[in-house]
Amino acid sequence: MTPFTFATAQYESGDWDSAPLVGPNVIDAVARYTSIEVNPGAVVVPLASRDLLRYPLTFLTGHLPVRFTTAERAMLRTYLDRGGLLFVDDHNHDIDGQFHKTATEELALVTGRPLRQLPNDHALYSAFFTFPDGPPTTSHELNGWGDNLIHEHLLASLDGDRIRVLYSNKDYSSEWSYHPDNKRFLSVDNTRFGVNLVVYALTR
Amino acid sequence: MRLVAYAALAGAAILSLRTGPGRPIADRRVEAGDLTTLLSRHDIGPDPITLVSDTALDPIRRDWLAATRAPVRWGSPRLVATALSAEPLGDPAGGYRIAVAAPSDRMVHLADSLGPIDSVPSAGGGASIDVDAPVGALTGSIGPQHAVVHPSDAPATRRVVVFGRASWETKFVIAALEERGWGVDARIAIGPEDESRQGTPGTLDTARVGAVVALDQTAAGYATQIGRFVRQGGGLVLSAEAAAVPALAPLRVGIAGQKLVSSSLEIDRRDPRRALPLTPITRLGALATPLETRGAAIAVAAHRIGLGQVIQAGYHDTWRWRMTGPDGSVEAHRGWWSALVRSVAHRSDHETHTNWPVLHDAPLARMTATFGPPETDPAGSGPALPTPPKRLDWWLGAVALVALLAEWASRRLRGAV
Repeated sequence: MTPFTFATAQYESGDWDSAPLVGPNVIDAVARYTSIEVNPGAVVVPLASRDLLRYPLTFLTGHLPVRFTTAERAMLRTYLDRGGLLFVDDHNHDIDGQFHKTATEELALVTGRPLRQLPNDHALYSAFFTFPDGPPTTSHELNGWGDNLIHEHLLASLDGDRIRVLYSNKDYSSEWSYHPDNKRFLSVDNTRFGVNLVVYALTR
Repeated sequence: MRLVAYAALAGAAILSLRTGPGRPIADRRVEAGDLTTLLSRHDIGPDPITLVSDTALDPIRRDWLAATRAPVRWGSPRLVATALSAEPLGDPAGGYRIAVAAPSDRMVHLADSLGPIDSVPSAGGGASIDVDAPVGALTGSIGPQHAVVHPSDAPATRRVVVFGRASWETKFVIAALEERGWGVDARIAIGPEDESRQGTPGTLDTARVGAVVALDQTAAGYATQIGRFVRQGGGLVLSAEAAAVPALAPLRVGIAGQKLVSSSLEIDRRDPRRALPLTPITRLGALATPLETRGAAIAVAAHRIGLGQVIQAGYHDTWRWRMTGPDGSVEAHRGWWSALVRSVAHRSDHETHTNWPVLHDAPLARMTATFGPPETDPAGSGPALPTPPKRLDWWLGAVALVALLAEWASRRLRGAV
């Protein structure tokens, strides 16, 4: 059986590689808490490539404006229609930022409708660890950068109850971008929500 | 008067003796097109009828002819034997498998009440066509011969329980079945002590669950329950990985062989499963049936255990077919998994009962059952048909009755006691 591989989407515009340690950190968390077979190495996959279809969960981040090419839009649409899940995180954690404005526009174009708030009692929040208040707050939400807001909800595009696109302004890209060895300095592992994301993607 | 009555009774007796069994009389030879005219005559008697027809009669004329109780010799050199059946696929998406028996190399035309559905050449004694939603009666035609059936109502499908660990395979097998319309419960292993439950997998019971899909060793802990479920009539789909689990060994169809990896990872539309890794099924049991092969390797096989059925598929990572295959792969993957499940899923016989009269599903066979086997030249030479005992002619009876009444009246009018 194919082990889970963490994939980061590479797109033509913007800085897709702004959070290179998110992958290794989520892989570490999945291996630490579950028995899910996981590939120790994360991969980068071009958004317009058919290789994208080999990774049904893909992470996309950046700070800069996002404009997908026609090929990227088409492949992303195919990916989502076949059951893929795209997790997008706004590295600016700024709802007035360029990434947020352009990325949500692009995702609305691809999915055919604007992203909506994901209810905080959605199955994602209890897929492995339980997060009764919805998405865990990050230390970067109130650090003076970005919009300086705590975002109570994630946004999503759903197919029935199943998440196709999950969109965050929480800046998990900064929160999780550190070497996994440094988790030992944390009282509570802040990548646990990453485990929920992977378990949800593999089971729903 | 008494003499007249006696004479009439004697005449009837003589007539009766003269038309005894085995006496050949002239047959009434009739073409199929003229049969209705013959049958409509008020004086049709039980004399033998020779019917020359290129097709079996429709049910109404067949039963009408049989009701005359006349010996019938029938046939034609151009008769075509055919039979038609329509069996629900047992898939939540509906559909029927239409099987038509026909001589090889004849064109079979299938139609429903709305019009033609499909035409296929028969091979190996017939043809099989899957139809999504036929309307009204189904008619299969080979030349002038028609067979007609009314499809029975499709039975309600029961739930499917999937056992698998958190993986793309588990996710997309569940997705495929749900998208096809199956109700799916699942036990998905996430950690040594953790599992994700979908729905209410609960106890495996054929009253609620039609089939179990075992994708890996997650099912090992439920092997006893699964075995009991199968023996009671439930269905089991075993993946290659699950078939290698010792606890499930009593249920498997064959032994897992050496894993084969395809030289190409590209999913081809014409043979999509060729690119998937395959663990061939070897050493099949005596009652097992191979259903799909890749070269000499058996990829899918099935057998019965108790009242239930088990199908074992040797493919790995079928999710790649859905995700990375060409256009249409999502539907193809969905259809393939649904077909595996429905082929073993528990169904009660009474659920496929039809309320429609089955009258013309096998016209030739029903004609043969009614009138005996057809002849290529029924009007030609052959043994004489037996003539049934003739009834007393009504007029002789009437004469006897009138004579006796007249005698009685005469005696009364004359005052005799």
